Amino acid sequence: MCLRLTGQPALAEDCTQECFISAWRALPSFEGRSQLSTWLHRIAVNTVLAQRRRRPRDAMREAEELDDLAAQVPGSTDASGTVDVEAALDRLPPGARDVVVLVGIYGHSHDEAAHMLGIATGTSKAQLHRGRKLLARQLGIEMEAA
Amino acid sequence: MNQSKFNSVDDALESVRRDVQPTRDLWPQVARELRDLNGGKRGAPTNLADGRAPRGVRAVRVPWPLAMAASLGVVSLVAALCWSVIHQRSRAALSARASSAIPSNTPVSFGPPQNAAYAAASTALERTFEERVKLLAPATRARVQADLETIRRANEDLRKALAQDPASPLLLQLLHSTWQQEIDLYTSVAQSTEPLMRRT
Repeated sequence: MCLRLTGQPALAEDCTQECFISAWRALPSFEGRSQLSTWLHRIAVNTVLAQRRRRPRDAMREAEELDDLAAQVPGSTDASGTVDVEAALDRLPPGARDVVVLVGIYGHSHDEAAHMLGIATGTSKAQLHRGRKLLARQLGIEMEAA
Repeated sequence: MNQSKFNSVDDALESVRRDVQPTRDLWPQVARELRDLNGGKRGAPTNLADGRAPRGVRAVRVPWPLAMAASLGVVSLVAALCWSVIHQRSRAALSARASSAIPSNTPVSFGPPQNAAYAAASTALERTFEERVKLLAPATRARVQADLETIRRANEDLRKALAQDPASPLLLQLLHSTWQQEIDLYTSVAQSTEPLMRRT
């Protein structure tokens, strides 16, 4: 999940390490009331968000603008000439990518995703729509079928 | 615009791998950090329930985060068929643990649920799985078998860890999740090969 959220293997590995350490610290608060996977996913999301916050604001804004631009153009193609899904996913703006990863890939509800990301449920739905639209464009999928 | 090999965005997202192996071993750094958290001591981890290590129980030496990563990283959905049995058993075990601590000399079984309905369903599913997995494309079959091996390895690691820390609700829940994941894997193979069976 860290890899899908960050799009950068080295950063994702750092986040995964931090996630396990945070999970160890937070173990006393885990009472088994929720799914362990949901609990761990929440910690992973918090770790990635905290890592993003540590980046300088200007660098973050610049990166998001570049991501927005990148997401507008078709992505790289694989050996068969079709667009690589993971590359397309990595090119999504962070806000849309987060929701696509949590809801579209890991199957969380919008309420769960919104709670993990600290956003409104409506925002989660809007970001998913935006993310799916950008993915469809990059992957050459007809919007009617998207 | 390129012609996509996917019919929909959902198809495309379905193709994204959920479990990705890291390029390096993440455990040494995690272990170092955890040792630092414990003041440099390699003692027993704190008992989650009352803040003390259980009597007569040695420190958990199995790197449970690895077991956790392995057990969680493979399959996320739970098969409805066995969920209720496993869930019921998990709740009962956790309730029993909450009401009275398990004495260190009490023999505890961490085998799969012994419920007859579960055993019958599990055996039938496993038999179907063995037949159907042969119908999968070689690459898919290899991936499925690798996933199954990972689940079983995680189960084995967790049973070892539980033998040392039988009161841990976390380890118990993880152990149960491996049974669920194994059943889920059987179910998904059976479902995905159903159209092939109808054709023959």
